[in-house]
Amino acid sequence: MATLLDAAERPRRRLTPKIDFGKASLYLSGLVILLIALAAIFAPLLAPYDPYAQDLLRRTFPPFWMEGTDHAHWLGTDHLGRDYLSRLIYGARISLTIGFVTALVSGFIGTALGVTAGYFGGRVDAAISFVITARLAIPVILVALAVVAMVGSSFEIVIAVLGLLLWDRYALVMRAATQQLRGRDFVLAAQIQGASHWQIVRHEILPNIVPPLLVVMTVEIAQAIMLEAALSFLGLGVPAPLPSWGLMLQEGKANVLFDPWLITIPGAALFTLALVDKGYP
Amino acid sequence: MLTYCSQRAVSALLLMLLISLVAFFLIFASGDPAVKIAGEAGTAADADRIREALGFNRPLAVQYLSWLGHLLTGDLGRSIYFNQPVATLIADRVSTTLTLSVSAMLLAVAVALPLGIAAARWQDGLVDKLVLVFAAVGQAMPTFWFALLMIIAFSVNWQILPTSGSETWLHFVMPSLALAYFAMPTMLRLTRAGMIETLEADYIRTSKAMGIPASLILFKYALRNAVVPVVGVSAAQFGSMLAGSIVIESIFALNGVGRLAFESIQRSDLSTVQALVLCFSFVYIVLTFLSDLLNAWIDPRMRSIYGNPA
Repeated sequence: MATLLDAAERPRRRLTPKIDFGKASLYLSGLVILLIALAAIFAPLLAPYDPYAQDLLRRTFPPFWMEGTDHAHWLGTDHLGRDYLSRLIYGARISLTIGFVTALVSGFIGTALGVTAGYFGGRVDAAISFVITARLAIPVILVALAVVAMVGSSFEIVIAVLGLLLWDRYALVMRAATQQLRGRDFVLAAQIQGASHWQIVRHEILPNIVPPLLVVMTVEIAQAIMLEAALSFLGLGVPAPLPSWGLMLQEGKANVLFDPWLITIPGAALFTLALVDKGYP
Repeated sequence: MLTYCSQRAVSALLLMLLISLVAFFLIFASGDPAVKIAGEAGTAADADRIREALGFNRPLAVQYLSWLGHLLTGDLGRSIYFNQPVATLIADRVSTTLTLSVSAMLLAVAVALPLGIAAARWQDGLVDKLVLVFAAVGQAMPTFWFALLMIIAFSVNWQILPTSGSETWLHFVMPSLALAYFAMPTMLRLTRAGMIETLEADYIRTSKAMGIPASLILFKYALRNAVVPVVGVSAAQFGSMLAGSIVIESIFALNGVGRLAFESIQRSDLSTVQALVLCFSFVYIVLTFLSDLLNAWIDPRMRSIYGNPA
């Protein structure tokens, strides 16, 4: 019997030493995020042209790897003759700003709700959990589209709408994290010493929920960027002529039959940003 | 089980009430819906007439209660664009959306389950790594971009699939694929995680020791337990697929509920938007309710965990 159990428990032997691909890909994705962020920050220095300057005589030039390219425009020009590379670089600004600011707004709402629910428990928790469930039942994209259509599309409106909608995951994770901390000795000790609820939350709970908060934030930044792109793609996100990647896709869609690169380039940028955000190579 | 059912039902009903408030007040986001309906060319007199005709001049509470009262009798309101009951509009289009989402769901399950099992079976191996990359790509891929890439490949380059319309089953291939790839990664990851956890359980080791064939252990004893969380998530994924159908149906010009929602938003057909927000949410609530019951039925332990919401 002993041998059987041993056989079942024996770890599979590795013949080759394991290279830590996980760490390598993490560094790689961090590098790519850094590059995109630098491109966004230094866009005016990096972009070869004004992203809004139209040149109707130089419309839909293809990028450098295709025939008929114009070497003055590496990634070609769009249907209005605007330099595609410049628009792509400035587009990184829009995506990252929307991602970060939305994450700040929704992170604040979600953390406030989650910590309150997890800290007080009982009826407070039941009430807040109910609100979270209600939020989960609401179709985000439909409500976001409707509100943007009614209030009017602008950069700020998109951020506000996404920020007010995307707090559910923060609330869920922060609630669970606070629940785990609530019964720990150091929290109870602070309570016995007569610390107020606010002091306990401020000094004992909040510093300890920062790591999970940051994890949720990275996921949610990508989520907000994707949603902005989807809204802009449907024409109800940031307004033209802002060089949002989603808007570039929408503008390129009409020419998909003849100039597919108008679609592949901004889409690839979005895809890369989302992929590296998840820590994949 | 009966107590559990009724508790869940009551909370689902309360949830629907809350959502109805959200859906109703959504159209007041712009301030005055009458001005919005009148459009940019509309005059103040137009807006007044609309206010009168659609009852926007009544107190909000009265408007809400009358709207709610109509809902309870199954009246979702009238579309001001089509001048038809919204219920009729939805009924005409629901089969398209259902065909799309059900086929996408089946596709997603058909891919996620075997790949998830394979990844867990050969954990950390090459298969596992490839499967995880496949899932990560699906999660990072914007659905609408994937749809456009498929159009470029299948319609423009190879010309084997139609780009728009819903006449034949061929019209549903690309939309279903796009939605399926969007829903698949979560299910795949859950299947994999569930299988890995179950395969480490004592009863699996015991079964191995007793000499039960590996395939029987994998598919019969392990899968049955690993699949429980997948059921719950599938219901939620189905709900988000309906939301995804807004984008996908617009791209492929499928005349379904999602496209109706998007076009109603563009046309400021506010009563239709209200009704559709409500319907999308209700479908989600009903699905999660059913999946809770299903989970409780499969696994009696769930009843005690969620039995007391406090």
